[in-house]
Amino acid sequence: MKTQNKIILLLSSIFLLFTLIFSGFIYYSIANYSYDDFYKRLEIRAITSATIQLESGNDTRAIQEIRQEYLEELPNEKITIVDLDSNTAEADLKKLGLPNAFIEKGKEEKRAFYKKDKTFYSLVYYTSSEKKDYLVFASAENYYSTHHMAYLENSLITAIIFSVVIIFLISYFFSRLVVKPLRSIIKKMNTISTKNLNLRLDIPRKNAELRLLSLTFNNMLNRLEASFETQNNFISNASHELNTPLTNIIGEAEVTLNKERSTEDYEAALTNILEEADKLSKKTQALLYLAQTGFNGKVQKNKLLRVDQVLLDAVQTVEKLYSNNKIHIDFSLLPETSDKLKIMGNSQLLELAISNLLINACKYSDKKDVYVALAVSDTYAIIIIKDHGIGIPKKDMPYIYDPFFRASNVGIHEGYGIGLPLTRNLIKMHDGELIVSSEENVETIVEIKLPLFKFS
Amino acid sequence: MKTILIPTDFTADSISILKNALNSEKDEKVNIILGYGKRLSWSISDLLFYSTKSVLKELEDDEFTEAKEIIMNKYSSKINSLRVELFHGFNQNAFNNYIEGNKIDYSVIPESDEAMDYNYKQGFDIVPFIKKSNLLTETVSYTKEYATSAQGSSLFKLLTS
Repeated sequence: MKTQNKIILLLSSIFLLFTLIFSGFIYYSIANYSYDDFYKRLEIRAITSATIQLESGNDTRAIQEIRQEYLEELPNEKITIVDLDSNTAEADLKKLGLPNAFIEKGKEEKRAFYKKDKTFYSLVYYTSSEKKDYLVFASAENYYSTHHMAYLENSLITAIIFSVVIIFLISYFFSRLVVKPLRSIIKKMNTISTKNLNLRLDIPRKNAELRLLSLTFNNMLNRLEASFETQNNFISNASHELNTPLTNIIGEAEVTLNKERSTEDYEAALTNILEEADKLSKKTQALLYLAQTGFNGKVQKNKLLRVDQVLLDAVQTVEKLYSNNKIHIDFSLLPETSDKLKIMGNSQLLELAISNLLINACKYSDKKDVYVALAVSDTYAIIIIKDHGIGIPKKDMPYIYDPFFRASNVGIHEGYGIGLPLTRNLIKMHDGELIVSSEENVETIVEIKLPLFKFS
Repeated sequence: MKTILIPTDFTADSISILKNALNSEKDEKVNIILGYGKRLSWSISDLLFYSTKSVLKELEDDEFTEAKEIIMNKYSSKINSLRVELFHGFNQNAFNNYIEGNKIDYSVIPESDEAMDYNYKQGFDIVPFIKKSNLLTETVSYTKEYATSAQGSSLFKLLTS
């Protein structure tokens, strides 16, 4: 069952139950009240008629006048007075055809009420001024209760029917209101696939739960994208870096085997092959090390790291891959206390990010030196990587973070346009900032800002 | 403890004068005063609500603050205190009072006169006042290098120079 329907059902049933209890209570209390009210009317009539018939004097006449003026005749109104002291009392009581319990109650408690079908009876034990006891019976049909209650019943039923409709509509719109942001999230989620993993959900500002949901989902996408790109990155690096030494080995071996050669030639060839194989093994190790970024299904744990250590490790790895380039590290602006160097993060991911930038710097600067500097302000650790390579054309700058985009001047340098977007994602995951600035054919400067861990 | 006056123009680049000054400073801890000339407003209401704090907040941008913090972290054992002191005066006497009031021992200024860019934040040059006063001055070589738009932040100059 859809959540929307569930909400509608639950809401309507709660409201309906409430309305039913409410109208039931009203019906019950009104019915009670109208019975009580009618018995009291009968009682007044009984007392007044008894006074009029059994007493004499001015008071009696006044009462009679009031009765004629203000007390209307009830439907089927009948008043019977039984003299208890007379001989015919028993017979008179029998003639009325009323149950004995009612009469006995009337004698004991001085008043009693009884209802038979539509006729209501009221009994009053009356003691006249001459000390004679009478039983006064008043009976009438209750026009009010039959008609008024029917009217009340009708109006309550109509009200319930109307409220059911209104309740249903309200719950429908309410459920739509509740589900609407969810729907929009689902719609947006459906558009995200492996081709556009860089898309993210909009974070709603007001709805706390949905905000959390979107944030969690975006976070998951961040990790997914990073792992996805890490694999691509590995493949791109591997295919490029491993191919060159392999081609060299194969070429050397083929040329050597072409004809018979002297022992010295074989030795020289084998030395070359060994050298290349050595390089190959080093590169494979370095690449595998980079590929082990921890995206192996295990939960990522952030640890307290020293940013200079991470930087040094990255430089070492890249030096293995690009032995032609020299990487100069400038630590002259390091702070005096190591506390200021601590950052919270995943060392492997950060190393991957930094080494990617270093690889780029080395790859596109043809054996020229690469400069790395590290400084620390009160809030950020700032790493700057500078090379004097081919740079990035101005018109390409806006697109450098797009996956698979490569600048127009890359020429013979192989690559797949994966490193920089991946690096930016990794830096973003650490709440850092990546600023790339470049002048074509002069230099490229990459600035990484990572927030320092606050000891508190 | 010595107090050193260093002119500044609130660019991250100009912090390298401070860096050079601290590099040449061998002994003991120092107090640093970054000096900046700023004319006071003529408007009485501006003066009424004048606060050094808010003026400084306007003058110091993120890059400058960051550069300042980097230097303070790097030389934390050498720097006893570092503060920016504005000079509002018109003549040499006022500047002498400024020196006396802040108990300045000597000053480090850039070699060339054109090194600072005061128009950047509508201030004025206090180097001529420093030169005319009887304050000991030390010069450091420093030339302004503007960060081109392609180079992004100018912090890297401080870091890579």
